[in-house]
Amino acid sequence: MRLLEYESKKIIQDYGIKIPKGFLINSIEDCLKISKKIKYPIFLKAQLPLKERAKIGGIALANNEKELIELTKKMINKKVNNITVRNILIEEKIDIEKEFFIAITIDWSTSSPILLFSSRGGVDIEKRREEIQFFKFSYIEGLNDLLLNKISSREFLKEKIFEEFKEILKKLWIIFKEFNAELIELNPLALSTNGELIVLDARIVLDDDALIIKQEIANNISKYLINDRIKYIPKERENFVELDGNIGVIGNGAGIVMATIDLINLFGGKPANFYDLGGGANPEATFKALEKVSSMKNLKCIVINVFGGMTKCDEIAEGIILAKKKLNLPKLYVRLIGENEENAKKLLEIAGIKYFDDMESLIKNAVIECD
Amino acid sequence: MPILINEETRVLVQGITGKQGSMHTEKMLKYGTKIVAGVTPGKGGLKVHGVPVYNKIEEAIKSNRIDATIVFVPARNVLNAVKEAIENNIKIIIVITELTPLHDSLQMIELARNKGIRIIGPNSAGIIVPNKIKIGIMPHHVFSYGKVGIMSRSGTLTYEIANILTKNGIGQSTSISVGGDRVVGTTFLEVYKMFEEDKETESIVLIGEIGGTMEEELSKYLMENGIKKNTIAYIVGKAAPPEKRMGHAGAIIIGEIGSYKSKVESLMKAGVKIAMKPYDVIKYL
Repeated sequence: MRLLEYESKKIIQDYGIKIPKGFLINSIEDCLKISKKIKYPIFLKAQLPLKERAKIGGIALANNEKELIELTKKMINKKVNNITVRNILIEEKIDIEKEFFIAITIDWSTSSPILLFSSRGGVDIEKRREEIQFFKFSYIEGLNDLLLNKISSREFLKEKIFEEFKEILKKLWIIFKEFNAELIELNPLALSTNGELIVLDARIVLDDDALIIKQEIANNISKYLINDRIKYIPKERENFVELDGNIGVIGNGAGIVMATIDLINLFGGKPANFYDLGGGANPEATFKALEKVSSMKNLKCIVINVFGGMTKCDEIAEGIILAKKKLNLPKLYVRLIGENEENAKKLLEIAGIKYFDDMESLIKNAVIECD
Repeated sequence: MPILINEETRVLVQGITGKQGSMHTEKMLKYGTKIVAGVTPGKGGLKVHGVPVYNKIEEAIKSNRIDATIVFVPARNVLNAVKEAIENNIKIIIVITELTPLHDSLQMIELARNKGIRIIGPNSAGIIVPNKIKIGIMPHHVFSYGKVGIMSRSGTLTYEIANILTKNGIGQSTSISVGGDRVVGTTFLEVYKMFEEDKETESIVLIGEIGGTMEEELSKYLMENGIKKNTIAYIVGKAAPPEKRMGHAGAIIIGEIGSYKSKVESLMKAGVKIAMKPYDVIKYL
């Protein structure tokens, strides 16, 4: 789950790291309420789960009350990259002496946490990889002084501020662990002309699996979320992805569903979705899958590709037969192989549902006939 | 010699009294796997398909030598279960559990690594040496013994490919599912090196998918060391949209990292043959 800037900053602030003074607004009325009370110039920042907002018009600077109202009107409820701006963070402008880039994330190739640092923050930091220092470290030992002392920001910060800087990093590591984050990024962390270290932008991405399994994390995060964002906390594994074609796809296991989608494309068709039944699906789960997929718009047919290991083919067949009776299904292309395959085929034959033995002929036929 | 496990491997089942644990214990026993004990806290003294159940691994290892454990416990308990296996020095830990939180995986992998213990998974379908032993959940009837090593992130696609090989008279030496998560205990590169050493493995089939960097790391190794065995890769997820998680936690592309293109191009450069469809794998064997 990707947190918005405002949400990420609230967490960071709760852990004792400084952020600029700000107000969250979601309407012109909100804007009018605060417009007289604040100091100008002031930033408007659209709260969107996107990187590089500045480049796509998601950030603006207002020099006075009039500009603030105009810019708010321009931004609020408008679409940026297909996402509607529901909230704007109005935030004081900080005079900057220096900007840093800091991130803690996972190094996937070694399965260890990694700290990224650059003494020049800013929007294009990913493109200036040579400027980033990488420090892998032990999850169990965490971030220690020894490692933090290696960071060359020492060259840029006075001793007292460097100690403060290290404290910020240690706090980030605590947040990273407590919230089971995949990424926590400050870009920039600024040294203000007043000599303060202050987070100007922050991004936190959480592990969806942790939010599903560890209720305490889901509960904790919910108090940081803006209004209706709570509905984005995942409650179960995402097993359905909508695509833009017309052939529905259901299978058991991420691998086989992806393979089915690839083959549909290879043979010239267009998949409408990705639906993974997971391991050990029963008739009810199969029915539910068909109900969901058949409710999609522009659907021409549905391909069901199951290789039963943990999953029993006859149970899938039962679900298909039930769905065929109760739902208004488009043409089905079914392949069931593996555990209890013989029984499944008998059931399908009795119900008058054609099945295929191999994956390629299944998909080829579906693509040709659904065209 | 098969890799990692063989007919003599003595196996523990963690979570043996659960639905999955119990069902697969029966199937593994029928296949000939030497399952010597099971563990479920609070269920000590029971028997599951004739296998004695203990409350703790500590008790189980008093009367049994245990070489490997297979973990069926729910995701919320998997970290503790794996920690217990590590503390008791079980050398191979196969984690079937799905949805293991990332931070739990990071911890267990580091703990295991520090003690020279190998974790396969999480989110693995297990290991099979056809006709000899299986420690996993795969429908074993589609596997047959032979000279092709399989390594895969996906369970179902492993069955798919093994089935095609078997039907065409091509057997497998060992088949390992490393798991579909972003962070796994054993990578393609590590398994590949074992297959390279293994005299019985003549060819290697890699079943990869979008997300992560395991395929690219293998390519890098092959570029540096040269390709010594016939290697075929089938990679799925070509048609997946960016930033969408395709079922597996690991199957997500962000930016260029982990894309189909990056995987296929790097593997091709390293001399790996690319199968566009499951059936194409046999063309290259």
